[in-house]
Amino acid sequence: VVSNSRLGRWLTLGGLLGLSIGTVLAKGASTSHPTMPLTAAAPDSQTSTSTSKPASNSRPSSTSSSQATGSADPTAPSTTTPSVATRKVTGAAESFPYGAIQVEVVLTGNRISDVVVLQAPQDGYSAQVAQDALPTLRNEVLAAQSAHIDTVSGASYDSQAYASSVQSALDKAHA
Amino acid sequence: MGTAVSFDIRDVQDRVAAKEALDRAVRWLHQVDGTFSTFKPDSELMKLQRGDVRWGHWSPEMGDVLGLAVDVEERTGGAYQLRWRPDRTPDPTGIVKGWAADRASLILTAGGARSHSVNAAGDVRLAGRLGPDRVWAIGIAHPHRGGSLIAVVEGTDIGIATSGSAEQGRHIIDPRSGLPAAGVASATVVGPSLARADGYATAAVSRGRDARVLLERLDRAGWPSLLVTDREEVWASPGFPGKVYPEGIPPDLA
Repeated sequence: VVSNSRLGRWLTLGGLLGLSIGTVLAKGASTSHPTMPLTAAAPDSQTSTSTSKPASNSRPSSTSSSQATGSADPTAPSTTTPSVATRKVTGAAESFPYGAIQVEVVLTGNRISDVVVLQAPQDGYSAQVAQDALPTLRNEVLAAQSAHIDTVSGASYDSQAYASSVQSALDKAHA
Repeated sequence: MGTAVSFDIRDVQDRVAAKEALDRAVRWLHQVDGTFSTFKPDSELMKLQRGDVRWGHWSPEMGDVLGLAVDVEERTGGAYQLRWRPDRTPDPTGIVKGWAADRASLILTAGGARSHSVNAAGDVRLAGRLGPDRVWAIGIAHPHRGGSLIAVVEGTDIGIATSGSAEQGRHIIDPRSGLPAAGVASATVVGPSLARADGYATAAVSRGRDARVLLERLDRAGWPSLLVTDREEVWASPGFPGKVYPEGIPPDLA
C-alpha cells in the first residue's frame, strides 16, 4: 500500500544526500573520483538511491513522485568557495503512527548544516520514542553529507516521517 | 510502521544495468514486506501466527528466515528468540531486515552494481570498493550524544548491525524475564552476514547487563562488536575492526 509518491520522496532525499557525498569527495580527490551516485543523473527518482520498505500506515500523498534530484547542479558545490549563504527552510509536518514530525533544515550553500525539530510527539510513550530517535536521524542526515563517512549504523527507528519533512524542506529550498 | 532502506551505488560502469539491478532490489524489498509484514493481515507471517499457514507449509523465504532465526537462537543461548512474544507465536522480524538487505546486496552485485551500501534503517550491508585505496567508512551513531559518532569502521563485504533498547517503537524483551531489556544503550555487531549480525545485536540488547559475556563469545566465533551501556560505559571486543571515540566525534572529523 505504499504510494509511489511516498517512495519518490524518499528516493529524492537519498539522491540529494548522495549527490552531496559525491561532490565533496570529488573535491578532495586529486584524480577523478568515481563516486557520483547513480541517482545524480537519474531523472526518474523511482530508480535512484533510496527506497522505503512499505509501511502499513503510508497514506497516499498528493505530490508527484517525479521530483528529480537534478535540481542541484552537481558541479556547483565544488566550484564555489566557502563564503556561501545560510538558509533555513521549514519542512511540512509529516504524520506517523505516533503523531507528527516537522523539521527545519539549515542549509549552508548546498550542504545541510543542521536539522532542527520544530514539532514532535509530546505525549508519553510517543514522546519517548521521538526523543530516542530524532537525534539519531539528525546524525544520519548530517553524517550522510560528511566527506569521510559514507553511511551510519544506529538503532532503528521509524524514519519516514522525519525523512519526508526533511525532503519537503529541501524541495522548497530548490524550488 | 515501515522501515526505510537507502541504497548508495558507486562506481557505476553500466548505468542502465545498475538501474535494472536497483529496480530488482527494490521489488525484492516489497516482496519481503508482503511476506513478513506484521501490519498486513494477509502476509504469510501473520497467517503463520494465526495458524492459517500450517507449520512447515511455508514459502522458501519463510523457511530460510525461520531456519536462520532458530540458528541464531541456538548460537546466542536463547538470548535471541524467535518466539519472543508473550503468546509464543513466531516473529522473526528482528532479523528479517538484515536478511532482506543481504539479499538485496546480492541482487545488486549480480546485476553489475558491485560497489554499494544498503542501509536498512541503521543496519548496513556493504559491498565492493570505492576506489583503488578506499573502502566504505561507516559511522556508528553515539547512543548518548546526538550529533556524534562513537566509532568509525572501515571495510567492505560486511554487515554492521546496531540495536538499542528502544527499537522501532517497541522494546526488546529479555526472554528470561519477559520484561523489556535494560542496560544496553546500543550494541553493534560486525560480520559476514547482516542477518546474523542483526540477530546477535538484538540478542546482546536482550541480555542487558550480561551482554558482554555473550559478545565475548561471539567475538571468538568471528563476530566482533561494540557495546555501549546505559551508564555510558564503552567496550569494544578484541576483534572490533573500528576506531572507537568514547566521548563521541562529530561526523565531519571522522
